[in-house]
Formats: sequence, structure tokens, C-alpha cells
Amino acid sequence: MIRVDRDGDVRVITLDNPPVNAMTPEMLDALRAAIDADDDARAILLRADHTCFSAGFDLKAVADDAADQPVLAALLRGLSSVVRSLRSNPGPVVIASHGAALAGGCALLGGADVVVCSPDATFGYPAALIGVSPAVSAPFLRCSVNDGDARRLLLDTKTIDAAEAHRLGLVHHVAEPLRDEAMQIARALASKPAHAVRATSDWITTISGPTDELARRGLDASLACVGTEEARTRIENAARRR
Amino acid sequence: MTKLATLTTNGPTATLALNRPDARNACSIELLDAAHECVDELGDAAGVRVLTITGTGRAFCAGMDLKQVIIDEAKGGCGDPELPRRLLGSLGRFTLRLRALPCVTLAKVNGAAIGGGCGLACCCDIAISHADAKLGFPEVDLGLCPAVVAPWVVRKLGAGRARKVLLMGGVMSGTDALEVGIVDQLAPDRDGLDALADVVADRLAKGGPHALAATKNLLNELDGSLDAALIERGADLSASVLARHEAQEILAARVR
Repeated sequence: MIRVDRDGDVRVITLDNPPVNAMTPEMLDALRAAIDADDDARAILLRADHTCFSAGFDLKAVADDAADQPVLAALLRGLSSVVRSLRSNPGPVVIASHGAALAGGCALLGGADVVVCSPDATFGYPAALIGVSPAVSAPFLRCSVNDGDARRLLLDTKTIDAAEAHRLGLVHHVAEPLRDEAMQIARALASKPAHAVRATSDWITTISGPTDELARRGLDASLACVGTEEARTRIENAARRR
Repeated sequence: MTKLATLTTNGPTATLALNRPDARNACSIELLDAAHECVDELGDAAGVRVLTITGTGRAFCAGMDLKQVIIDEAKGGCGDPELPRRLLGSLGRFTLRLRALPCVTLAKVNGAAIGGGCGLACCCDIAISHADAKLGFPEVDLGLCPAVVAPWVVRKLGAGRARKVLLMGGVMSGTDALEVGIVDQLAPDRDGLDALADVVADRLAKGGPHALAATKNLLNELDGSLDAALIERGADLSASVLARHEAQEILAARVR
């Protein structure tokens, strides 16, 4: 579900769970292990194979869940921990997103230092449609876009296109061919003095957050919706429609 | 002796010009002292509503004076291990004082605005430039951490854009600086900047001074701008990264 390759000083992590890189708890565990791997890579490029970056949580996995939805809870915990791992990684992180990056898929962007997307990319948090709160993403999203846009993105389930995501600051570059551009940025970051890059990245987190406390409150807010009648019914209905 | 920063007032508008053109207005401890004196002087100039910050000659401000942040004298440095921290602290306090002024501050980025110089532009209320100016934060390329000015960049650009700009280093054109939000308006070329600066300063000066001061105060309060402790922590961090062997070697190679 996760592939790890090495390109010079860059560790390339690829989401590889066809057809839409839907997230299962196992996939998020593997993703976190790939991010936290202790090698001598100086930067990470996180990208995806197949039709899109990631459509978010695997509906099948949560539809077969027990009544108190332990799988959904594991997904939210796994997602939160992956985003925090990306943010606290000693080397810089570049994300290359193509096609849809929705809900949990879009949440990954919050951990990156630089986000590049293809012109066909779309972004959004339609999680509320299945009774799941994207609050887990809010502390990070609030740091990359302004408050008004963060509210709209998290509360309105409508997705936005690449141009708008760039305008809001959710992505830094819209580029084609995506992989070349993203790789070039990752290589450039990997070539810079590592200590200076790390100190600067950590300082920006100190200035702007989110603090660990706020990140945890985001996760708690999402977890509070787990096992509710609303979440169970909406997920069942969505899985049946599929 | 030439004053390294000058203040000229003209009714409701004033101009603070960094005046060390042969060094592209790089911030030495002496230049910053002179800049602080200009702010002292401005304190007496009642009725100034707009302060334009600019550079004499072709550059706006090339950032830190590299010779004063290299410690080893044998490598062209200052020989004083305490000087870089004092320099960074002085720059940080200068930006804080500009931010705290009751008048509106306008950065007229006439040419290169590099590192701390670009941070100076970001701490002003409004920044204008021209398409061919060079702006940016190449600190990480030199093994340095732009910690003193990072709070201004984060506030002006938002944390997401600031992260990319500060980590990617390098410099960009005025056009790219406009797109990313470092500057707010561009003159089509260098020659057009004076006219644009006059138009913007005159327009800003039309506002009621109490209203302008009240608005600035509130904005500073809302975003925690006057957090002096954060700036001092930034100076500590920046000085500690700068003192490392890695950074000192890169800097020495630059001035050689």
C-alpha cells in the first residue's frame, strides 16, 4: 500500500493502494513507518500512483465496522499521527498531489513544507457528508490558509480546484509534469545546509503552531463524532450507494 | 562623517533612508544605530502620518553585514563573538520599533531587499517595489536561520507561504514577490517607483492620524506583533545557528 524508493538524497514515499489510495489503518501505519524511517535521506517527497492522490478514508473498511466504530477511530488517530510525523520530520517534506485529495487525503498536505499539485488537482473536506468531522485537520489547515477560507473548506463539502487552492495558499505551485517539478524542489531542499533548514522549520512551527496540544484537540474533536448514530447511518448509506 | 541612516520630514510624510550605498545598505551595527536614532528623532516630529523606509543608491537593504557576522578575523570577520548577537538584537528591536510607530510605515523597495532587508520590508505596514527588484531570504543557503524576521514574514504571508519562502531560500523578482505577498504593489519599472511611492504616501497621509494610529494599534494587538520576547528568542536562535562551523565556513567563502 506504501512504496518507498530512494532518489539521491530524497526518500520518495508513494501511496500505492489502487484505485484511489483509500486509507486503511494498516496503510496509515505503513505510511507513518515510511516517514519515520531512520535513514540518511535529507528530504521526503510524498506522492501517489493511480488516478488520484487519495480519496480519504476507505469507506469499505468503516462500513463493516462494529457499532462503536473502532476502525474509524483508528483511522483518525493514524491520520493525526501521520500529519504530525510529517511536520516533525528532521528533513523538509514536499507533497506532490494529482487528481483528488479529499478529506484525509487533503489533511496530509497540512504536514508538508512545500505542496505542488498538477493542474487537474482538486481538494476539499467532504467528511461531514458521512458524519465524520474533519476537525483533526483544522489546526494544521488554519496555519496554511486564512480563517475565512479554513472555515469554508472544513464546513462546506464543495471541493476546490488547483487554481483556487494555489490562491488560498493550500498549495505553493501548480506544475506539469508534476513529478519532475516536485522532485526538483525536494532535491533543492535536500541540498541546503540541514541544520539551518531544520532550525528554520521548527522556528516557524514555534511562531505559528499548531502546538501539540492544539493538534490533539483537533483529533479529540473528530473522535467525539465516532460511534454516533449520525456517523453510523451516514457511512452505511454511503457504502450502500457505492 | 556620513550618516548611515537619514530622516527627512516633509509635513505629514517622512523618509528614513538607509545610507550606505557602497555596501548595498547592509546592516552593520553602526547603520542600525543610525536607524534607531532616526526613530528617536521621529518621536519628536509630531504630525508625521506616513514614514517611508527606503535605501540610498541601487539597493534597498542587502541584509546583515556579512563581515560583522563572521567571527574569525583571519577569515575576514569581526573578531568579536558577541557582535552577531548584538547586531541581530538591534535589527529585531528596530523592526519592533517601526511596527509600534503610530504613523503608517511604507517600505519603498527600490532594489535588492535580501534577508534581514526583506524582513524589514515585511515588518512595514505596506510594501511597494518594482518588477526588477530582487527580494528574498537566502539565509538557509548560507547555513543561517532567519529567525529574527520570520515572525514578520509569517504574519504578512501566512505560515504556509512563509514556510515555503524561508525554506526554499534564494531570491525572487519583484513580480514573484507580489504574487507571494511580500510586496503589495509594483511600479512597472525602477523609474516608476518614485511616482508610485509619492501617490501611495500622499494617499495614506490623507487619513486622520488618530484613526490611523488606533487601527495600527489594534492590528498589532490582534496578531501579537509587539511580542518583544519572541524577537529576542529569534535573535538567540539566529545567533546560535550563525555561530556554527557550517555557517561560518559558508559565510567566509562568500566574502573571500
